[in-house]
Amino acid sequence: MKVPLEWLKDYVAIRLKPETLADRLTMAGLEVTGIAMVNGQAVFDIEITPNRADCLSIIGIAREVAAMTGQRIKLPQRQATSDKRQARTRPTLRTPHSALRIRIEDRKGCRRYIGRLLAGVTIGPSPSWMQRRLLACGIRPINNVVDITNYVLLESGQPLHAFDFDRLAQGVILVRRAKPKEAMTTLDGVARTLSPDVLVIADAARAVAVAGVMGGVGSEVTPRTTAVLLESAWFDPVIVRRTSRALGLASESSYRFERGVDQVGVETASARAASLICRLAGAAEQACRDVGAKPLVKPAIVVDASLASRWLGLPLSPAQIRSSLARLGCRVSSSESSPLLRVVPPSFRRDLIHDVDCFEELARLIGYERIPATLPAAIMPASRDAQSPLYRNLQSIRCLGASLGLMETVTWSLVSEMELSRCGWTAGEALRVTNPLSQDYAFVRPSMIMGLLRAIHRNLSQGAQGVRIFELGSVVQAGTVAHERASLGIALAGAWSRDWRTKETCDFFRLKGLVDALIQRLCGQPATCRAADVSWADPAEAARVFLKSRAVGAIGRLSRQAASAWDLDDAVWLAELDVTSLLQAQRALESAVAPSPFPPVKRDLSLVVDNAIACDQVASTIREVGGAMAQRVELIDRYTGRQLPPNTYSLTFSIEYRDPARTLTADEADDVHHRIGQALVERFAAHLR
Amino acid sequence: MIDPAQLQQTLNLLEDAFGKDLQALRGAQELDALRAKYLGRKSVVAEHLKRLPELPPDQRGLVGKALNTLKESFEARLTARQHAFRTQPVASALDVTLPGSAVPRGRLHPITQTMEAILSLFVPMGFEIIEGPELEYEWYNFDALNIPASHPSRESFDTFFVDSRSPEPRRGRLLLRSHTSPVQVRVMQRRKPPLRILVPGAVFRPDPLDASHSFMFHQVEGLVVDERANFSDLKGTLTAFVERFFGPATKVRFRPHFFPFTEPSAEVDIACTACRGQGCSTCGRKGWLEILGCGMVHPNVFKAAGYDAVKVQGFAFGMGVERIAMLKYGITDIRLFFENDLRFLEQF
Repeated sequence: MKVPLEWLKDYVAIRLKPETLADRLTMAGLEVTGIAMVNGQAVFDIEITPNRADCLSIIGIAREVAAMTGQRIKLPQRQATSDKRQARTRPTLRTPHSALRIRIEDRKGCRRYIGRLLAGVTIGPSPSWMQRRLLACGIRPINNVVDITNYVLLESGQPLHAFDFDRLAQGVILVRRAKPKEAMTTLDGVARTLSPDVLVIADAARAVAVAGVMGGVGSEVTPRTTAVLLESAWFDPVIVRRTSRALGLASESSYRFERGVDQVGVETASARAASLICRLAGAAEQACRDVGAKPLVKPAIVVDASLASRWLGLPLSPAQIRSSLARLGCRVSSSESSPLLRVVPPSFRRDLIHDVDCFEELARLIGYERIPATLPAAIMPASRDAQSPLYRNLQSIRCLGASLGLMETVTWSLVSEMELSRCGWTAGEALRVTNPLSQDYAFVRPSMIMGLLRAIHRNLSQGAQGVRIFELGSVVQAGTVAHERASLGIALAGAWSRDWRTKETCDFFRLKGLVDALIQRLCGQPATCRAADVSWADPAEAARVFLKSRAVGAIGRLSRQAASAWDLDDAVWLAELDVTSLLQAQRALESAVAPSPFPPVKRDLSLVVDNAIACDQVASTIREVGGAMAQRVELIDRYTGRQLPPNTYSLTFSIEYRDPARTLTADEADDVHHRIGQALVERFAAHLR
Repeated sequence: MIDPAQLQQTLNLLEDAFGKDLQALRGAQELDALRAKYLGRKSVVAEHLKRLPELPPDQRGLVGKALNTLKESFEARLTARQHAFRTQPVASALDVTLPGSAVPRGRLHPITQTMEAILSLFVPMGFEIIEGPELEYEWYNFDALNIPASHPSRESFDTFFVDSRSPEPRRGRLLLRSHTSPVQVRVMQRRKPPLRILVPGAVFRPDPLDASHSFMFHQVEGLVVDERANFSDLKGTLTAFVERFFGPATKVRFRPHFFPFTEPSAEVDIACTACRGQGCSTCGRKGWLEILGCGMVHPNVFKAAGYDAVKVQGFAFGMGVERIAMLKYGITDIRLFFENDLRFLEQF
C-alpha cells in the first residue's frame, strides 16, 4: 500500500526522518518495502499482512505511528452535511428523495448498508491537493464525487461507491444475490454474466453493481449527475473474494472487503465522504438510511500478565501491559485482587481475539529486538533416535546411489498426460490434479520414470556423453483410494565411463549390478530378476525384481516407441524400486562369522546348455548341491558362438570349496565338484567341458 | 672319481658362467630359473655334492667346503641381485600427468545437500527428523493449523487439490500439502510433549513458474513443545542456526509478521549476503533478506492436536530450502534445481 508521508502527517506528528520511520514501521510488522519520491514528497510502499485490514488506510498507519511514538491521533473533524446553506444550487431531484428505500435481502452477505442521498451536486474536477494525493497513491482522478469516494477509501480503509440517484430505478437499493445468468456491464466496460454466488446491488429493475467489487455502467456518476447516492457498507469477505476470483476482477474495494472492514467505520467513512461532497461539490444531504445489524460489541479478552511473560520470555508487569495495550486503543480494566486484565480491543482490530494476539501486540510495541535470545532449557530425553528410521533410511539410499556413481536428481512430481501415456500409463491410473497450473503438470506422478526421462532428455540434448542418474521421492498410485509410496528410480544412458584406457557403455547388466548392490546393502539379502512385461520397457529386455517371492520393482530398456516419442537415439536403461517394500524387507545383521583360516580348494566348471536354460537355474543347482562347502560360486565366463552346437551356450563358474573347521582335501572337493557336474547333466542335459 | 684339480677348474668355469648369467638377468621373474640352474637338484653343484661319498675321506672335507662356499656365494649374489631388482628405479618413468581412470562420480542434489546441512545444525540441539505425507488432508493442511475455511489460501488458487475420494471424509478433501506444517499436528497427535522435531519435505503451491517461483519446492519445518519454550528461546535457537549456517558475524533480525498458526509470528531476515546490508538487487534494496518464518504455536493448533493448550507452549519455524540454497550459492533462478542439468549438479 502506498502511503504519502505528507498525508500521514495530517493525523499524527512525525519528527523522524523518513528512513528511520520506515525502519520503525518495518520492525513493528508493517514492512516498508520501498520509499519513492513523488513531486518531492516521500511515499512509502508498505506491505500489509492479511490480518491487519485496519492498516489498509492512511489513518490505520497513522494509528500505528501514534502507538509506536506514544502520541494521540488527530482524526478528521465531523462536519454538518445537512445544512442547506452549504448547497450552492438548489437541489433538483427528478426522483423524489422520499423514494429512497434500501433493503438487505442477503443478511449474511451484507451486515450493514448506509445510503446517503446528496442532492445539488455539481460535478467537476476535485481540488488539486486531493488529485495530488490520489496520484501519489496510484489512483487516477476522475471527478470530484468519485475522487472523494476514493480519497476516503484511502484515508479510512472503507470502500465507498457513488451512484447517480436519478439513474436508480424507483430510487431503490436492494442488496441481493444475482439471479441465474443475470447480465451486467461493469465499469471496466466488460459485459458479465453473473451467478447466484455473486452478491449484487440492484435497483428496482436490475443489478447496478457487483457488491464490494465494482459498480455497473448505467448508474455511475456522470458530468450531468445532480444527485448522488453514497454507498458505505460491510460485505462478507468470503463472498467478495469468491466473486472477485470468479470474475477475475480485483479492485481497491474488493481488496479491503476481502480482508474485512470495520463495521463501525462504515458510518464514519460515510459521514466523512458526505461532508467532503457537500463542501467540495456543493451538495446537501437529503436523506440517510442505515440498514442492517448494529455492530457487535467485541467480547473482552482476559490477559494474564504472568502467562504473557512466560510466553514471550520477558518479564512484564500488569501496568506495562495495560499502558501498551491502551496505546493501541484497547480498553483495559483490572481489579486490585486479580492479576488478570480485561481487554476490549477497538472495533477496527478484528484480529485481536485471543490472549496470544495481545501477547504479539506487546512484543511488537516493546520491539522484537528487545526480547532476549536464549536456548530452550528443557533437556530432551536421550533415549530416542536423533533421526527417525525413515529419514535415515532414505538418506542412506541417497548416499548409496551417489557412491555408486549416480547423480541425484530432483524432478517435479507433477507430470503430463502425454508423459504418462508414453510410459504406458493411462490417465485413469494416475491421480489427477483438480486445478492444475497447466496440462504439463496435471497429474501426480505414479512413477519416477517420467521425471528421469525428462532429465535424460535434457542432458542428452545438451550434449552429455553419458547420463547416470537416480531419484528418490514420493509416487502416488491412483485407485479407489490414492496411495502414496516412496520410490527409487535409476536411469542410465550413453557412456558409463570413458577415458583414454577404457570405454564402457551403459547396459542392462550395468544397471542390474547397481540394483543388486543397492538391494543387498539395504535389505541384507540378494534380489532376483525374472523376465516380465513392464509397461515402459522393451519386452525383450525387461524384468521384474523380486526379493524372495515379493515383487519390489522393475528393470529394463525403455521401449523403442517411448524412446522415439522422447526423441532419444541412445538406449535408456531404467529401473524403479518400491522403497516402501524394500524398507519393510530390511533385515538387520544379527551376528557376524569369523572367516575360515583354512585354505580353499578352487575348481572351475564349464558346461554347455540349451538356450532355454537360464543362468540362474544352473547357479542355484550348483549352490544347492555344493551346499555349505561351496562357499563362493561365481560366473566367470559366458560364451555363445559358432564353436557350440546350435541353440546352446556355455557357462564357466569358478567355485571355491572350503570347510570352516579344517583343511579340505583335494579329493573331498573333487567329490563334491563331481556331484555338482552330475546334477547339471541330469537336470539340464548339460554337456560338461 | 673326482679329480680335485679338474674340479677346481670346473668350479671356476661355473662361477664365470654364473656371473655372466646373473649379469644378463632382465628382471626378478628370471631369478628363479637361474636359481634352479645353479642351485637346483640337477645343478652342477648339487651333482657334485651328491657324489662326495665317492671321494676318499681325507679329500671329502676340502671338496665339500669348496662346493659349499660356492653355493653360499651363489645364494648371496642371487639375494643381492633380487634386492637390487626390487629397489631398482623403474627404467622409463610414468607420465604421471595422464588422467587417472575415470570413476563415475555421483553426487547428492543441491537441495538434498542444503536440507541435510540445515538439519544437521539442529540435530545436536535435540531435534529429531520426521517425515510426513505429501498427499495430505485438508484438515491437517488448514483447519488444524488455525486456517479457517474462510482463509484466502483455502481457495483452490493457492493449493493443488487432487481428484480422489477422501479415505477419511471427516478430514476433508485430499490435496498436495502446501507446507510441511501439517506434520506438526500429525506428530503431536501421536506423541506427548516434550517434542523437538524437524520435518523436511516437498511442498506444492500453484505459483506459475518463473525465476523465483516454482509450484514445487522444499521446506524444513521445526517444532519445539514443552512447558516453557518461549519466544526468547525461539530467537536463541534460530539465531544459533543462522550464525552457524551463514557465519558467526551474520546480522539477523526478527520482524513481526503474520501466520495463522503462530502468535506472535515473525519473519527472520539476515543482512543481505550480496551487499552486506547496503541495498542491492538481490535484497530489493532493502539490505535484508528474508530467510524463514516462525512464531509461538497458536493455542488453537495445540487444541486441534489434542494437547492441553493451557499446559504446553512452544514454537515453530519453517524455511524454504531452495531459497536458502540460492542465497548460499548465489543462484538467481530456482528452475535450475529442477532442470537437473548435469553441468549444474556436478558443481555441488
